[in-house]
Amino acid sequence: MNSSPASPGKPSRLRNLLSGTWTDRVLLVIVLCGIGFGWMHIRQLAGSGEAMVDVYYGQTLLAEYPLHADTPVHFKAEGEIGVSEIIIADGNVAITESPCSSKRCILAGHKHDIGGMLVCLPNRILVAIRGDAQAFDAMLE
Amino acid sequence: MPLSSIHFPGPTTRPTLARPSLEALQRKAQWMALLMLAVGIHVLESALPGLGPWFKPGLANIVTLIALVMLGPKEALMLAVARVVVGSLFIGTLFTPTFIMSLSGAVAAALVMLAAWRSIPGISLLGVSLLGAVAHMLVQFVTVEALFIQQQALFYLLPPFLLVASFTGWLNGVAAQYITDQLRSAMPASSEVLTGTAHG
Repeated sequence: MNSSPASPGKPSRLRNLLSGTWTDRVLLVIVLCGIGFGWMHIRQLAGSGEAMVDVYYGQTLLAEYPLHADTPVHFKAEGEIGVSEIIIADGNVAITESPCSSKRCILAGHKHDIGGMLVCLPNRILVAIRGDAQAFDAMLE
Repeated sequence: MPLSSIHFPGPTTRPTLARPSLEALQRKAQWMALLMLAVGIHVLESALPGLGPWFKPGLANIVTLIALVMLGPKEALMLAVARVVVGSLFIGTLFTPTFIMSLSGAVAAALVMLAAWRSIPGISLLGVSLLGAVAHMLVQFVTVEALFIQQQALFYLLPPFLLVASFTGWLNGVAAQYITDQLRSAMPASSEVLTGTAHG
């Protein structure tokens, strides 16, 4: 193990502790490069164009709506443990009611960008905003 | 019946119990103390507001790292599993999707950390923790995609989550490194235990 060497000054000791060994730094660079590359790749695949909202239960597509519809959409998605209520209005999508106990999907707030997602894991509901259909389908392939 | 006809087993036939050594008992006590600490952090983390549907800072992983250095790989892996099971009992999520995600992530992180600790020369707890955090997040996503929401579009969320996990993993490694350094300087007599397990 390469522990950080002890040094008399507090700031340099903290700096040593935060910077790690050469191996750690190389690993960090590799991980960050991998994340950056993956992020750019996925952004390209997610596409642009008209934003659509897909609602899934497990692997079943329940509904598909344009994000920027003229009239607000109120959709009730039947999931594993009950009904999740989804509102699409003013270019935003949010889960407003959920049968799960943690309500994290509601606390996640609203999403408005392509690639934005809301997930209710206990109810197995996924709400995803996608752009250009062909590119997004390519990602799913 | 005359008393003389009864056979009393002598001291040589009495079964003997092997007493565990003091060192073994000490290690068990240390493991239990670390487990209680990890469970406490696990429960505390579940009460914190989440950054996402399944994101936690992974503070309990600091204890796994300390167990890896203090007690060894097997004990660290057992601690990771026991922490999730006991912690889930306390917060009431046993055998729920949350539990399955926590368990899969914790086991994957522990295995990757043990492998990194044993096989990558020059690595410190910062690098070990970083790799553990990345493995934890990756396996959680794979578990969700495989068992609950079979949509590969989920992986769109992965890069930002991995970025935050790398940051918290690094910081957790700093905390674990600091704690083990302090333990080493506070307990010079047990420094052999603290350093003896590095790289197997």
